[in-house]
Amino acid sequence: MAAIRANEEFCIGCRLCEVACMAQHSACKDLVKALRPGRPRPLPGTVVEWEGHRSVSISCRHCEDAPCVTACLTGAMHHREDGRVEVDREQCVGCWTCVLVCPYGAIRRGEDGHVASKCDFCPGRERPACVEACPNRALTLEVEA
Amino acid sequence: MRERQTFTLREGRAHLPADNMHYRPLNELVHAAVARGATHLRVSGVNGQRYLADGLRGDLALEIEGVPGNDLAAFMDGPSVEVFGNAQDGIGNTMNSGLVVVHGSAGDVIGYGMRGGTILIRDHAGYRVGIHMKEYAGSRPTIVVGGRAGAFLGEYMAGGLIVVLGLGAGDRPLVGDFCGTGMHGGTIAVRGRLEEAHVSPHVRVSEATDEDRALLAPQLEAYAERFEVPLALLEDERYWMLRPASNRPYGNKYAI
Amino acid sequence: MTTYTPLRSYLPPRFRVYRDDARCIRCRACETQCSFGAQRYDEEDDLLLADDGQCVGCHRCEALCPTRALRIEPNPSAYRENANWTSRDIRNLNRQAETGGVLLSGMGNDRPYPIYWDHLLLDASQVTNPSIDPLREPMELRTYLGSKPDRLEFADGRLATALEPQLMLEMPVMFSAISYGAINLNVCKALAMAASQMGIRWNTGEGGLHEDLYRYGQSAIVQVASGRFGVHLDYLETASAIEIKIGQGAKPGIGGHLPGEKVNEAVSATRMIPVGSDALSPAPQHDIYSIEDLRLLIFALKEATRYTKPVSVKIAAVHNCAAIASGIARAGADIIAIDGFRGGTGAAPTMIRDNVGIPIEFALAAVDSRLREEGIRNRVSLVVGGGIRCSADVVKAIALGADACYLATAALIAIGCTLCQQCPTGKCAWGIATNDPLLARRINPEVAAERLVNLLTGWEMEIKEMLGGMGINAIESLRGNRLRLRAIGLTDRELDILGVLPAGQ
Repeated sequence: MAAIRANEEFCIGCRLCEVACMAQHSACKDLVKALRPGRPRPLPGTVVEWEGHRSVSISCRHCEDAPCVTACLTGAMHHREDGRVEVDREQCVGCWTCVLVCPYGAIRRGEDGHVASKCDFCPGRERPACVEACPNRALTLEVEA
Repeated sequence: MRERQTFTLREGRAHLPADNMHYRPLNELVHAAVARGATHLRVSGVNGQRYLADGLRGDLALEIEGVPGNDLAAFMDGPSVEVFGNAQDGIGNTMNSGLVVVHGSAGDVIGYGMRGGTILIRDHAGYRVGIHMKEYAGSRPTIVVGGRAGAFLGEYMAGGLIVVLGLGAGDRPLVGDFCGTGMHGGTIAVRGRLEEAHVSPHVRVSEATDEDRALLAPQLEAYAERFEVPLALLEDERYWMLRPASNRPYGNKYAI
Repeated sequence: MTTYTPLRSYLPPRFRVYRDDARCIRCRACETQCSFGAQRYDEEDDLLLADDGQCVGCHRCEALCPTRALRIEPNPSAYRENANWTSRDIRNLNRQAETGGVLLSGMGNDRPYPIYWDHLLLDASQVTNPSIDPLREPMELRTYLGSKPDRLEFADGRLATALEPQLMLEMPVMFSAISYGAINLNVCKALAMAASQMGIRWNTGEGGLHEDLYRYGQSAIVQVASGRFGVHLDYLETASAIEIKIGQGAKPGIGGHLPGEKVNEAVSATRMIPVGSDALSPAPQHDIYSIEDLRLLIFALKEATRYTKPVSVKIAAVHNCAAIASGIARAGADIIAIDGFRGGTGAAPTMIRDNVGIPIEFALAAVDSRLREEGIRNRVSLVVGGGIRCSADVVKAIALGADACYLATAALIAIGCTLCQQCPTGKCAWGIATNDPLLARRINPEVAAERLVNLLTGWEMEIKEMLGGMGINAIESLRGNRLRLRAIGLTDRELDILGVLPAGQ
């Protein structure tokens, strides 16, 4: 299963990964239209975190033995057929146990207050939007040889 | 073309007669001896051959009888070189470590860009001694001049120690003009008397404190022992310490 | 007691930041990327605001803005037109009035002096001498730099003459000296990686060789400059060649000065000077006061490295460089590198950068002619640099007599430099001319190396095309072959010095 590798050595903190993720997960996908100030925008699935001069973009690792899947009270958090970890929006009750349990802090409380929000590995795209948008290859796609 | 000279190595020691050889075959002989495991080499009859001991490394003692040519011990890293005679210009250029001893006077541009090790000169030295010496992390180069030194002593010094003892100087000044111009690190010590007119405004002069004297003590002892001079003669005198006035002597120069 | 506030500047901003608010999505990338403090996000009003006075026109924000909402332009608010007193002059006078200091600039001479490469045209074969298609036939770009013997002797069908050490290049270009400290380790790594991959060389400049770069030693030319920073036996022995730096095109006659702000732990360790102190490279090298002294240093280096590596001497292109080059060749150098007045730098006094030195085209022609006249051209290889912008410049330089070209500014532009000339501040927003770890990480060596390899690969193909077009299949047939050049728009005197015929003849 391919994975996103975040290289903290070369992250420049520009947050274009976040922008690309939000655009990708909005209805119209056009960067300017989707992210117009004042218009509601989706939460990004990857977030840049800082410490001093160092930064790195953190997103869900789609763990094989995902703690969030184990901890989920309703079974909303599950593995898709392709191995990715996904939230079933209907089933999620917003208890936030997954938020607590994720060792990477990669899950956030959805803005609607109800559904957990995290990276879905951009289904339908050859390469996740964040990886394509990163100007410095701080996010790369590791594929199996 | 002379036939290549050979030498005999006994317990790591060999004698190489320089014998009017051009410097290139002479240096090849020296390197060949070192490659065969020499630890003590005596080179006799030296008469101006250049580049002796250049780029030599490791645990090696080289004795030079005669007057070596320019650039003795340049880029040297570790060996000790003892010259029984005067020496010329360019000794210890960018030397990294090791020891050079001159039983006589030396020429100009001694220890340029020196990074470590020690040079001891019994008598006088010429111009431009100790330019851009630098020190870092425990490696501190030292030059001791027994007599006088010429103009531009310690110019652009970034680290290290130069000591001028003034023995046999008579009435003449111990250091020449422009001493310490552009100095931004390191220390110069002058024994006895110092004409401040010779000292660059980049330098501040102070009389040696007990701490300074402790710094100088090993160098004075080394000189006294090597050249058989009474230590008391060196110690019973005031010393003037020259240090940079700023580590950024050209700090305010630019319109940024 | 009266206290005084610092002098207020009367200067308007040099650049204006235009933001199309309809396109701005408040992502704040411009804010994080600007290292000069020209972009700011106002939380309360949810707006990105610009402080034009801080903008230096580096275009980093513009390049990274995901919606292309930004436009950086020279400030249109202009002084009254004055051909004698331009805005540049007015700015410089004001800055000196405010600070009392020496004007300092980064990168190379940007004044509108004539560019002689643009007055030289290349030949092409037609009819009588068929051209060669590089896609069908092999083309030899391989170049050997080093001293060539006066004659070759053979015995039993083999070469009997002993050759001096040579540098083999797969194409006739190398990366010129850019010191570690002026640029950061990521850029050095990129240059080293690209040079290794393309079979050419990179030059350490006078900052020494960082321990992480020793693995690229085989493709390195190490520099021995007046400060002797980082010069020790391992440094000399790991390299493929040693270059004695006498001068550089951006600042002939004066020394170098790396400000204390740029001397961090790693730079301090590599150069062996205390953290925060200025790294001063005096002019001249104080052990070289004559050509005889230069010979001494050349041979001290050869002796120290047992004659296994070529020794190069780098000079700036100045008035009498032909005579100087002749002296250098006779002093035992294997390579002479000449840096023209367009050469770049991390910092040079503006007056020196813009007014001292001569164009590399003339220096090259003069030196090549002089060495040939004296019958000693074979003793050295000539490498020229100073504003080599494209593969056509390289081909013209070789036709004028060069063995290879040195590139530096072109390489930095390839990895992002926009020539904003703020290098001396150490705040390069592109992460090139800075050691600030926050900024230096903007150069990912793999990305930068890929860009450099792309650049050289493109140039390599173009050089082959131009050679093939001339009916030549080996670069050595072009070397010094001035008959393959024609000039346009030059005076008779200039034609004479360049040794080139006018177009039409």
